Amino acid sequence: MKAERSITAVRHSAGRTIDELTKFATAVLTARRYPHAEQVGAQLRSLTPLFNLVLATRAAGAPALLVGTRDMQIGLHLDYDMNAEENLSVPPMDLLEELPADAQVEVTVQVTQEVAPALAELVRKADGKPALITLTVTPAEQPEQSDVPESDVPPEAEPSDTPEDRPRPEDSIPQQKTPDEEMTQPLR
Amino acid sequence: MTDGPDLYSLHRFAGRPDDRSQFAADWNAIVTADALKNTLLRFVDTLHRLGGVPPQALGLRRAVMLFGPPGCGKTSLARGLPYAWHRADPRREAGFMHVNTHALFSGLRGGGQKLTLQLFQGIGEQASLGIPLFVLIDEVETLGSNRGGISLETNPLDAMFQVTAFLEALDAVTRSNPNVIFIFTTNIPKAIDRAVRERVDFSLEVPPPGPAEREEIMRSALSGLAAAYDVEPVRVAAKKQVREWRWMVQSTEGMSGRALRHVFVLAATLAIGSKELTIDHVADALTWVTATEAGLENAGGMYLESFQGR
Repeated sequence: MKAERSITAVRHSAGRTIDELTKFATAVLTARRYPHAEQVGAQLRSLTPLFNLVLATRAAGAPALLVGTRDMQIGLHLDYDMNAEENLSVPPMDLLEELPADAQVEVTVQVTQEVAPALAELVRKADGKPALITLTVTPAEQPEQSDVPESDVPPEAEPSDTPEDRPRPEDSIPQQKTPDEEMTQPLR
Repeated sequence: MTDGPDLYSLHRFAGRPDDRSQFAADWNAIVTADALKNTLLRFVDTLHRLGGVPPQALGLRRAVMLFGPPGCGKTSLARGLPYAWHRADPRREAGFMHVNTHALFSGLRGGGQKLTLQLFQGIGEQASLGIPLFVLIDEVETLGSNRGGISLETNPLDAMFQVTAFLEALDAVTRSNPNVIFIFTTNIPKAIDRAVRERVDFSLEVPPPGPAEREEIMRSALSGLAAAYDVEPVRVAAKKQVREWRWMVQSTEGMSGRALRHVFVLAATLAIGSKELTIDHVADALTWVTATEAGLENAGGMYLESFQGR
């Protein structure tokens, strides 16, 4: 099943937006009766500093959050248009089978620019359990990037990478553990 | 999304067919000529086989319409169709989406169009699974109303725009999802917009039951009552084809299956003080139903009024 949903980030505080992102991913997996849905939610909540940075720099990918399984791809877009309509409803899952505990589930946070290694470290550590979240860096030329206003993130919080250092899209899930690449790896 | 009632409900048919499900009961409860059910299944097989044909080539909308008087089993047949199709070959899977047509209306300006588009977005999402998806839109005349008959004085634009939204969304889903099969039902084909009617690939009338079907329905209703009454006297009368039984079979011509079953509800009411149900109870019930001013045409439900009159 493929479905797209959206949340209008400018209508909410960052905290509320992060909360909605987390609840959405958890709700999707709960609807599939996935036993680790709450664990995924907890891991996403532990990424709050990362989401704060992504929201402040408008570096969310499109979609910003992707909940994927063999038979499902549900994307959640962050919308910055005040008049855009929000839709956070979880699609009915009755035509899909339940997800067993050992199902391959991938919750991907997509960002359009590199984030600081310290934040990537958050992803890696999560809550100490086997993590199910992947951080993926997508090309910077996303539509959201075209009208990005001045960032309100303090300079010291900005990613240190120069654009030249950013990985190409095909390198977004690297195999070697260089510091830049490490942040895009699935957590284990 | 909407906070109102769900726009649709879903069911998946996979693996071993469940012959005790509600869908099986729906399909099997409808007593009609075998040819009608077979024709319906053949329509679906055809649409399934034509799944790879570009819709433009044949003007396909992959839609089947069932029409006929109320109470003759259109909705039950439509609900049971995916079950029957899956049962014919359990290796194939099917999804069933029953649209809650009543949930598609809104008092807000543009609300109906929005809900219609949300519905079709949902159809597209569910269809993206790739398995054949049966979408039942019951009483389709409420969604695809004849625009020529819409009053321009009562919320005219919204009503018209909703029909337009329905047509456009139907076309879009058909183009991009060849695995979707629409099933429309209606009591009032004339009330349906011509543009909707022309998008139907197959139309099938579900008529009132014939004599053999009526007798089968009567026996079925009797079996139902056996849980509460001793119905043996009527069973024996039916088996012996006594005069009253034959009269009942003959005099119920034109009556829908639902109305016919209601006769047995009235018979049960007449026999409430008795342990057993007799042929006289059933015959009296039928007499009262058919003796109403409205007659057979309104038989389904009129029995209560006639009962009060006595």
